Amino acid sequence: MKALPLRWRIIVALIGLALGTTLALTLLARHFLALSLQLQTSVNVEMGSAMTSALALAKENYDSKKRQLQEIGHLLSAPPHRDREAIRAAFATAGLEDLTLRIAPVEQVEMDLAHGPVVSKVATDQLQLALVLPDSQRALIALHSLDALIAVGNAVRTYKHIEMAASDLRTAFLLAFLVAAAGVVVLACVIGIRIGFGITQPLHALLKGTREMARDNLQYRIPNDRDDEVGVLIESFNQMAQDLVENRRKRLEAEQIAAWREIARRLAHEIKNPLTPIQLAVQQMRDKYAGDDPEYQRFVTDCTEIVTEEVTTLRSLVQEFANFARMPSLSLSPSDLNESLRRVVRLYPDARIHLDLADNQPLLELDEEQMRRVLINLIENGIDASGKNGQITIRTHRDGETAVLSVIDSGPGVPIEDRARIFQPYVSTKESGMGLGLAVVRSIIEDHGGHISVTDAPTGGARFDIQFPIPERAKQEEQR
Amino acid sequence: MARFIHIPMLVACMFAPFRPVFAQHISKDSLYIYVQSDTLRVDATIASLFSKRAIDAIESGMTTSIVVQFRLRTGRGDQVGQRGLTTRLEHDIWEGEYRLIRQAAQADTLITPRFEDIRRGCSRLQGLDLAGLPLPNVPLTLQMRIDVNPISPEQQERTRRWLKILEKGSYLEFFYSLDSPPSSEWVDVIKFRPSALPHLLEK
Repeated sequence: MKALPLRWRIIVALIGLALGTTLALTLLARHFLALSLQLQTSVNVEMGSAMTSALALAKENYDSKKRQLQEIGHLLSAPPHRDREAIRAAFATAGLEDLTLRIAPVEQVEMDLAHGPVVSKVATDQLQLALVLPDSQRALIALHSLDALIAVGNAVRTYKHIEMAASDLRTAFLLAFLVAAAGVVVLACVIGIRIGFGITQPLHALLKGTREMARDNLQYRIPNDRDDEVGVLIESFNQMAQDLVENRRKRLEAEQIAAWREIARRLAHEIKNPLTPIQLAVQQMRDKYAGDDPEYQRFVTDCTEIVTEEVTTLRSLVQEFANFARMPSLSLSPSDLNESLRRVVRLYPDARIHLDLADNQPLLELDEEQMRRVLINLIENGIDASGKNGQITIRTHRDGETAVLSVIDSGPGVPIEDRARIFQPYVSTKESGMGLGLAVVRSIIEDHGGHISVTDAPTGGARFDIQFPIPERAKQEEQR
Repeated sequence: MARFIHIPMLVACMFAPFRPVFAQHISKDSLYIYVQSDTLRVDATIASLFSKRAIDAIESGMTTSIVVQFRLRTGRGDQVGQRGLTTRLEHDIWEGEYRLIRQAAQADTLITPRFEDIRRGCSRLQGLDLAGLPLPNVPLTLQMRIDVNPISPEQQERTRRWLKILEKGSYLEFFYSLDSPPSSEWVDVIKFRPSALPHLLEK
């Protein structure tokens, strides 16, 4: 059976974890809810009983107050006549102090008091005692507040209401819990899916990247908008692809240069050998002429000079071929790039060369002789491009892990379309020369582990930047 | 009672077949529809008007509203007439008295210490006007709706103060509300033709 893809395994695992946790929490919650309900039920029974007793007591108290008022009513309606203070004292004796008393003419009281004192409940929260005082002219109306009893009644009703709603409330609690739990589960699922996709999407991208590489598509890059470990992994992959492209380019170029060197070696060999016999033969032809025809004599002498001159040119070209073909292996030693520059610049006393060299440059691993060749090549190229009054600026500086040497001329610059080609052998923008100079320069620089590039100088000329790696030894010395 | 989705009612509907049936109803024996002075009238007795829950609430002194509504509909669903009767029942637990106050143009109050009198007073409907006399041969359906709510708005407020978790806008209030429940559903009581009804002389 085919296994589930990693993405779905992660999602299923996360959802399972969320569901498992929720289920465990639900069981716990259920257990505690049951305990709580048990507690609530026993409390409810007690509370219900207490409420019933409280209400019974309140009713008893109400009846007792009514009876007391009735008794006081009979007392006060009989002689002797009492003043307001004495009346209040009579109520106080019965424990009825919270009273409002009003004494008014009998005709103003709209009640039938002919049969004695009347006790009644008024305005839902007061007990009223009304009676005719012994002078038969005035009536007494006493109002006693029932606030405490009404509060008991309200409490009992509210408790009853809650008791009535308890079952629906429990259902509501359960529903509320289930909805909240469902929300948590849905959230967990969404998060799980997001995490699952978040982990596996870059893996899929990496997989696609490796497949593209296997198909020799080294230009393929994985889009990267992450700044976490996965982002670093993708960045490393892309860097690896870039390095592969660069290595392939270098290998191709090395192969190309090796092929060109072989051609140069053969050409040098094949051309150099007949040059001396040609020159000697022509000179002998001129020297052995015994005739006296001055016209012919001059003709032979001119031809000899032309042949000798062209042989000399050919010999210098052959020498150039030979030099390109026989580039020796490097002999590296710690060298001061600035000092090498100063030494080479001394060879051009008439040229306008400005040195802008950074202090405290680390010692680089260089082959002094080869570097001298590089610098002479670049300076002479600059002089050729800038003309007699041209200016050449040579600058060194540090850029992170590399030391940078820049040679900037005031010539016309290198057209963009030629920039990639000028480092190839036998490519030249000049009328003279074989186009080997910059090829040799690049070969030497790359043998040093460096890199050369050409851009436009801000002043309009060409700018050659050479980057040399700073050796580990120099870095360690700097750290000390 | 949910504010947006009535979840408890939804649940109640789901479990309805498993719940004990309690419903106010009018038995056909007690129903008498007749024509008097060109008006359709009804005499009826509502059985099981008060549930045990309602009686408990009334006994604890809760003020209860009782709304009985009738309507007449034709077979096509047109409404021919509607009549409602709203009554408030108060129980003075201190005096041991019940007060039944019928809210109508001519208010009518019954005060009694006996709950049986109240039950009878609420359940028996006599000479209740339903509608003017409609077309005699159009079949009509008499529908009834009864709401007995022992929780007054004051009591709702008091309970809300006690149960702070059920305040307006709270999460729990989405699932349960102390507000008055929605009106009950209309139920068919009887189908008849006005032409078949007896005509009574005016008293």
